[in-house]
Amino acid sequence: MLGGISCTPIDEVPNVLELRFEGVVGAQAATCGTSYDGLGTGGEQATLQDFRLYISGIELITEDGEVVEATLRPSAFSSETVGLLDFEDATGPCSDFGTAATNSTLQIEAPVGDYAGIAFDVGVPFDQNHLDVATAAAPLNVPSMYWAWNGGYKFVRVETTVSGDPYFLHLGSAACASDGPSAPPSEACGRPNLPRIELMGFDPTADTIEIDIAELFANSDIANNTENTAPGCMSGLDDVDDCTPIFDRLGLSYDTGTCTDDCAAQAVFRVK
Amino acid sequence: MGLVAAVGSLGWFGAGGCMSSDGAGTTPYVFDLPVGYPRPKIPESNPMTVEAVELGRHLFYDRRLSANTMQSCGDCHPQATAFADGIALAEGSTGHGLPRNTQGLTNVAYASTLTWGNPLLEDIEQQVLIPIFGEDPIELGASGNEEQILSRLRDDSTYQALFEAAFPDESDPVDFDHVARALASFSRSIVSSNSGYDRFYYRGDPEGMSESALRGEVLFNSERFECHHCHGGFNFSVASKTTSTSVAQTVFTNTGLYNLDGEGAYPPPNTGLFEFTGEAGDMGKFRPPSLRNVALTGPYGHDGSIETLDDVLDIYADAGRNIEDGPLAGDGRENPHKSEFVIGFELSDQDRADVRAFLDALTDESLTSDPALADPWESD
Repeated sequence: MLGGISCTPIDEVPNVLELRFEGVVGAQAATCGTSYDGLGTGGEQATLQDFRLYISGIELITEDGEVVEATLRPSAFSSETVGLLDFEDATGPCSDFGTAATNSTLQIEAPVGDYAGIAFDVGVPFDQNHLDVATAAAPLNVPSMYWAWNGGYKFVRVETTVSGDPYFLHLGSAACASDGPSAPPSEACGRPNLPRIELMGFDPTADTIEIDIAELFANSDIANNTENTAPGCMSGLDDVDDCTPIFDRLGLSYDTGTCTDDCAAQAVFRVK
Repeated sequence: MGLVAAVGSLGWFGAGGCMSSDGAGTTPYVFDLPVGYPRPKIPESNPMTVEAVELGRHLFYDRRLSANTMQSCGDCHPQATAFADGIALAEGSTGHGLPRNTQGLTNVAYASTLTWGNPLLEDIEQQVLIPIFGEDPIELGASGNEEQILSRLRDDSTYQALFEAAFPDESDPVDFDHVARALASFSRSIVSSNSGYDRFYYRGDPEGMSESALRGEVLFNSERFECHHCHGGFNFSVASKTTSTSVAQTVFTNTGLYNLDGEGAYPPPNTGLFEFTGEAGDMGKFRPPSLRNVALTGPYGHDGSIETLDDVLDIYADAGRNIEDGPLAGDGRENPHKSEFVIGFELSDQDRADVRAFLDALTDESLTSDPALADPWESD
């Protein structure tokens, strides 16, 4: 290590890494208004109209299995603790609730090291999840990613239409007890629905993380929504048949809203 | 008109262009808002001052701003009805009919885009030029009459003082750039924070919301009614921005009001976002306005074709509007571009009463009677 004259010692220089993500549907890039074939259990064609998700709690994992916390660099799409990936650009059918700006990278600071894996939560930590979107700093300042004080944010907002009928995933915490929609819960929600994803064989300097909607809906009958329930899954307590196949793909238990076996069975996120 | 503009009076937008006044001698405008109530984002090019707001208030209610002196902003945006006009479609100063309903101005400072279907109008300074200069339809009719209108202002000692106070560093601030900035500043001062909802949630008054209104709020925010998807948040429109906004959030949705050709057509010229993007799927998509003071701002819809709030609820409960006969016939419920959140719901009499109570809790009588927002010429 260099001593140096008035240099910052090398272990104090922030090591900035850029995490690259790609939103995909199978082998194709995910873009607004594109129709994709072969989705769901029925091999349906679906048209994409939203694809956004929050990432938090990022950790890098060394070859030796040591876990190192990473902080995000603040930007229009990130705070030090939460980042927003946004693969839609408000064109075409994304014009309802989209934002013209997009984001597929997150800059993090972590000590210099040889990293072989990464872990992160898909969503917003509880202590930030139930405040006011209108006064929150980036990236929690996007109204269409918010439900209300009580429910917090949509951790994942993926929307498709199948022959014009909606099939959505709005993943967020459920069973949150509070005095009303505009009141935050004081205790953790009954179903946090916050998956933690771990990917090994990941070199942050060379690899990209793919997020695959085809995998997300692989077990879903996207042409047939259960009657009298939200279109697709909006994390409702009454939507077991539509939500369970999606939760399975994230390694989440629908009944408890927590990871089964550390969400090891998740199939949506992969290293490229 | 352009670079040959000499000192001041040539060039109706002023030699200074969009440069902001240095502001020495002006008083920063401070919003009187309760803790936790978001603050509006003010553009750097038009910092908000007490003096500019006061100038804007005078201009807003002044019929001399129209070429034929027959109409002011306040004629279509009267304070008593939360700055909306209580009719489906207004007429301009020369009798041209306007195609779309006059929107109320409560919390217009927080709108992420302005007007019903334009995705490009982000600042009020841009928007006010439309009613002032627009020719199709003519509203205030300033186009071609600019010098005549500005002379009225220049020759009026009240305005001399008001312009001087608002723009003290400019030798001749009487031009339409400064008129637009002052009107925008006044408009931004129209903020509601004393409705029943605000008193309950921001001002610690448990009487602010009745039990019925609280039940209505739950319905409003439910995945059964889905209102909050478009009309959620403190501003009751997701198409909002505040001082903490970093990524622009626009919202344009089709609520199934028309279906002229069975393929989703809305009656021209009100095709909404389609008019700007040319995308077939954008037909009939309009911005969800803030629901603050909604009980005062009927009739409803982009063309004022929905008379009452009960009619609004009926349409949403029915997942759209079916018009059975006449030139606008068509089943909007089947509109292929309709938002996936307009799915219909059962609406019991109790539900209706509760949602109505909640919407009533968004009425702010202090705003409709605030002297700071009132017509200064009336008290003369």
